[in-house]
Amino acid sequence: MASLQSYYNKFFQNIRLEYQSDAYKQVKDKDDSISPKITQAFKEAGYVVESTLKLGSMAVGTSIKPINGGDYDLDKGFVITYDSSPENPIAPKEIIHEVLGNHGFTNHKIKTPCVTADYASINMHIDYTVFRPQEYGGIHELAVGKKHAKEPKWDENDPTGLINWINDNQYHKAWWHSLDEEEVAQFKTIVRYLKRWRDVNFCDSDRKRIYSIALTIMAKEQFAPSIDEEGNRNDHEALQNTIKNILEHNYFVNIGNDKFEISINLPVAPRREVFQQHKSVGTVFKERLEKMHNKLIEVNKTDNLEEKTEILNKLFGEDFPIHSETKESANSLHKFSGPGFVQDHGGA
Amino acid sequence: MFKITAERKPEINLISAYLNTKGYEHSIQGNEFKIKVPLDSLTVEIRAVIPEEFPFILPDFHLIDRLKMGRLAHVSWKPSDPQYADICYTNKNATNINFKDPTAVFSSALDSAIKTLSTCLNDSTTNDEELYREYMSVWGFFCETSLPILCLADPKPNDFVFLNIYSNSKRLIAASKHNSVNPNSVLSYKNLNLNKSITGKGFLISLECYIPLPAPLDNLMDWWQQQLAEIPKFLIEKINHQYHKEKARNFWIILHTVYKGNPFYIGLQFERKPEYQTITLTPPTSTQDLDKWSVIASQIRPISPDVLIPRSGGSTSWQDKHICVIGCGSVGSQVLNLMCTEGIGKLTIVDDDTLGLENIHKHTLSPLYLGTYKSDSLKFDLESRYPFVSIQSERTSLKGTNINNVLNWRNFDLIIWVTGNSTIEMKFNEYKLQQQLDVPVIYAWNEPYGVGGHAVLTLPEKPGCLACTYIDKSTLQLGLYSNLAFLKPGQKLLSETGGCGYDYIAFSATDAIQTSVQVIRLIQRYFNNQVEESIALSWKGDGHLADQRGLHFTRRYKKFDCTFKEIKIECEDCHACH
Repeated sequence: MASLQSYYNKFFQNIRLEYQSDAYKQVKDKDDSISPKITQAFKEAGYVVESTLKLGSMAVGTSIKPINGGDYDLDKGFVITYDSSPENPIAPKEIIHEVLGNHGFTNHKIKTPCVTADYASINMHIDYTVFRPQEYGGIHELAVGKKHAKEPKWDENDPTGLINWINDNQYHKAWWHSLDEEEVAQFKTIVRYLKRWRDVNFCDSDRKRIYSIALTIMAKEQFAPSIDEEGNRNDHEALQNTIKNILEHNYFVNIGNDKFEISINLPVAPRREVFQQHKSVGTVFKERLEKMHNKLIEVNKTDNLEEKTEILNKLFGEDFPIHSETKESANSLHKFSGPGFVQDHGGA
Repeated sequence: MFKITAERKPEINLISAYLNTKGYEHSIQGNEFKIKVPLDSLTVEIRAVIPEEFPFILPDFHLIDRLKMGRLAHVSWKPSDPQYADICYTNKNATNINFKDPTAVFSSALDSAIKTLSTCLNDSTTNDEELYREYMSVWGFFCETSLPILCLADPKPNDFVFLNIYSNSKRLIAASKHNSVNPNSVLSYKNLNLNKSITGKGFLISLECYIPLPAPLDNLMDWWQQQLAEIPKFLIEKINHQYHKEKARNFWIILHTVYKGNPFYIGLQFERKPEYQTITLTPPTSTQDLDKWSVIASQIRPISPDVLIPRSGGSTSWQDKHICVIGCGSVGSQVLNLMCTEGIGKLTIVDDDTLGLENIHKHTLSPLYLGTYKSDSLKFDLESRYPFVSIQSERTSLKGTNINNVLNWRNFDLIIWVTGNSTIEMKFNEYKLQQQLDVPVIYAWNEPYGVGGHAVLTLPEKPGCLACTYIDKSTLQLGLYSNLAFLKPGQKLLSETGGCGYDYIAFSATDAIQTSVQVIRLIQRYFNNQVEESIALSWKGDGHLADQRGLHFTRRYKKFDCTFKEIKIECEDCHACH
């Protein structure tokens, strides 16, 4: 009989999205065609692009496939040299805005932190940001401001630092224990589970306000790994304990009348409050987290794998498979996964 | 007698001062003390001899007038020097001495000697138990003048075995053709080069009762007569009927019994008294002519599995086991050797390879066997060395296509695969499960560069099989790499000294021994019924050679902290055994 972990593994395979996934190819291709045009337009305007940055969940390996016709996101940063950067941070954003508009993107807008656009035919949503290094080195500065912003600015921002923080093997609850490679991978898997849970369990408006970065920061800070010395993973236990830690931490502030505000700060510059104007989402967020935690405990109370997976299927949606008893031929050894042959690792 | 030198005197004075504080009446002569020691019911006199190297060597204690004490454990005697008898109060070869405090050394030693004496003198039950524990040593005191006898015969419980007694310049050998020594052993009837001149005859009589040892001053013939009265009458009649008249000049009786699981052998050599050299006499098992025989005690050295195997830490319970070993390479040869020392009775070994030059530093076979089939040569080598094993060798090549008909797998109590060929081993695992073979199987292999080794025991009718150890822990799918591995998959591991065809998995003889020890531990646990589920044992090396080659280690290697720790191998996601 299969283990519960094997069903988590299948769930993971069903939801994971990588840069090289087939489902992402068109998005990648589109970016590959647009980015050089943006770089060229920058060049013509006198802005020298010294590098581009992969941002968002793709940069840290926590992307998941969208559901219900949702968009595939692409987050990218263009870093222009300090010397070539204009005083007005909106200027390069306007160039991006124009390039996008000329190449089939719709709904393209200059927002405070970035330029966003959609490409409807491939369910693609882009966020392009502009950075420059600080004059005397250190972390980057982000071009902040909308088109007619009163006080646009180049504001301290550390995208690389955030990526490193997420990928780092520390900065989690058991700070004295450095996570190993497998535990970091489990943490990222937990983030993916949480993001899918969010997508399934909240209405559109709430879902948009429960930011992926918030889930990532909470999961990282409260992560409780569960992999034994023999490499046996227990994602269920890791998820359950991580959520327990999240609920016990002081992210949710009681403001009376059973209402909660949520407060999480970015762990790196600009260290801003993640939820800023949407703290009130804390009430429904906390309530649903508690419900999820209870469901995970309910899973432990039954030994029946079908029952376990049914609970999880309701929690995570149809991509979490339900176990059914099928008789496998006692005479057939399950096939080997992998290539036709590999070099033997043992001798006698 | 040692001189009292200026350097020696301080220790003697210290000891004397100590004895005075304890109230022990004593006298000193040179480096010897005679000490009167009151025990519960009597006062004994002990001679303490302080050696030249004291306090780096413990003193000797002798019981004076020992022969008056009768049967006393831990106290020897020499018929040639009956006055002083050595008190065995500790194993002097296994002590850590507080040489900075000579008084403490002497006092501890004396206390120990007194305790030994007191226990044996005042508690007859303990004394008897201890006498039995040192049975062979005590009997040895009676055997001062006679040659020890090698006994090549298997005792038959409550029965007897007829013996011919052979002699050469060095030893006597009491032999029966009915023995469990394999014919290729150097200790076999054939290979002992027993000359055709028989010097005497005898019987090995195996009893199921306690045989009390004689006391130091006992007359041996009187003692023998008492034992004769205790031997079952039917047995004596049987012996006497079969050998009612004997013309042998010398006659030997070897008594055998088992007490608390330990076998004991007592030898008695009967010789015709001079005036009865030429006439026919009844054997000494009959009282009829007993007065015409004289008797001396003989120390027996049995060539018997119940003595020699436990003496090396093995178990005679392995004698009736039949184990099949596939693979006679570095690890296989070590496994076979160790199994023989453990007391395995029967082996079938399978390998179609010959011994090459490149093997000689790792293989147990010497270069004398170069070019020969490993299986045949190991049979010869092991049988000659280990008397109680019988080996069948097969020069068979096992392939995925002939596994089901090359051997009758159900004949074995255990099957061990040490081929280093995971393809064929996985195939066997599949076959075993399909056929529901009711035989436990061990698979063992080394990783290269001293990184480690693994042994997996799979039990019949229990979940957990070799395929469980090939389930990838991240995908939970059956893969081609073992999840026990210490080196990450997909790396270049083969060493090459001559290009294609000359590459190999590099590991040392020490690595092979280490892994073979894991195999033996698994066998021990299985045969001792200490295992209830399929398990693996791994050992981990320091990995510096792999490190030098830029190889990467698995998480398991980094976390692994305990060689000999059993790991359950059962994996719920293994479709082979679930």
